[in-house]
Amino acid sequence: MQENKKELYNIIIAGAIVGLAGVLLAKFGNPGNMGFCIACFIRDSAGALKMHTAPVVQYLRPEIIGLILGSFIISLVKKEFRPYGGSSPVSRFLLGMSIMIGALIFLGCPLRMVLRMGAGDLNAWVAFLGFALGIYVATLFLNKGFSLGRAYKQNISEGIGMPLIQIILLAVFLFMPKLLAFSEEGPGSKHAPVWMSLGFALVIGAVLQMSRLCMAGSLRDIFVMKDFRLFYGSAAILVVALIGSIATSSFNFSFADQPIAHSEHLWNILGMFLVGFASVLAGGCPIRQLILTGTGNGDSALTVVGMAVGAACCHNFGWASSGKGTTAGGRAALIVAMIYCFYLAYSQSVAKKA
Amino acid sequence: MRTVDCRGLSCPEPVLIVKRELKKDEFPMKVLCSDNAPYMNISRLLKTMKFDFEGKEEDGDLIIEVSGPTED
Repeated sequence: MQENKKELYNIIIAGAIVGLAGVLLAKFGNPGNMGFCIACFIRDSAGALKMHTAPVVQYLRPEIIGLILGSFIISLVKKEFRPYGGSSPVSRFLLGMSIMIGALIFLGCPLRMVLRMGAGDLNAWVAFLGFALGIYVATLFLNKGFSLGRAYKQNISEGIGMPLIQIILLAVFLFMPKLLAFSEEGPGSKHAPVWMSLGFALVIGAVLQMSRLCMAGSLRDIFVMKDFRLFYGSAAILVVALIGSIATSSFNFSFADQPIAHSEHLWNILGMFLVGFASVLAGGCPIRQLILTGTGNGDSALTVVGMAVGAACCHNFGWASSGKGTTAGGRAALIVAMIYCFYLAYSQSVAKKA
Repeated sequence: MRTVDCRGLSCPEPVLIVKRELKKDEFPMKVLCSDNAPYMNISRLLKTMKFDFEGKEEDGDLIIEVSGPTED
């Protein structure tokens, strides 16, 4: 019993640190209600690397680098670095793309959704319904035996690939920034001091590796096994974001005038439905994929690459929403991605038994 | 001892598999995991469902040996 309590404290502290980072990073320069957003930051980083050329969302976010490296370092220290991979890589890549398409329709990953909820953005509360429903539907497939198959132990070189790339990216960012593209206006131009972003991300990467916090897992575990542990982590993020946004006077309880958000409720719901659904199929939400990547999980690394490519597509082909709302291309891409995810879920569960 | 191999499976598959295997009521049972997340999840499940078990690490794998339901 005692050990269970310790686990519970760990997850609540982890959630509180994430919530605090979200509030503080926004206060010190990151875009509004976007102190921490995995989808937005992978998108900005893809832009900095010129995978897309949307001039307002290009910045190599140290948060992404720091999360992967924080998890990498702590897993080496704790001897939990385990190179594994080979479980349906193509499906995982496409799930990563799907997650990103859904997130950029809504304008945020599950983490930013909770930060937005805490800041009083009612659009995010509406989208949350979709997120929860997507997770619930995914658990129906899990109960039908959904699996992407087994991953196998890999050589260390396979596991350290992505962490090494992060070190190179960090070096380029710090010493050769001319190679990268940086926004001069828009969300990409807004960022907290580098040391602050990197520092918070390294700490959070380590803390999340230890606590296993996962936004999609928090509802999934309730639906699948009435396990509330992860849920308390997400709840802690919400509570701290709420207190923090009131304290920094950025709390605004309304649908209108929210930073980098829109009020097309149906598409917000569908966007986050897809994020929840695809995240559960992929075994974790965007932030969890980064953490797993740091521990040597090659399948998660590929999911992250899929998210980056998905983000590039969203901006190259005009699928990403903006404060003005969704686009026709984005709505079409969402529907295609949704059909793909349902096909994948069906073919890897119900159809396999037949 | 029968072995349930959960190595390399994404969450929450390991827990669901163990839950199903527990119903077979064949003990002792050995569960293999490759990551701490399923290891912790399975441990928590066993505590909640009141089973006696022991955890250890062997050749980089995490192993849970379930000896059976806790007797009152």
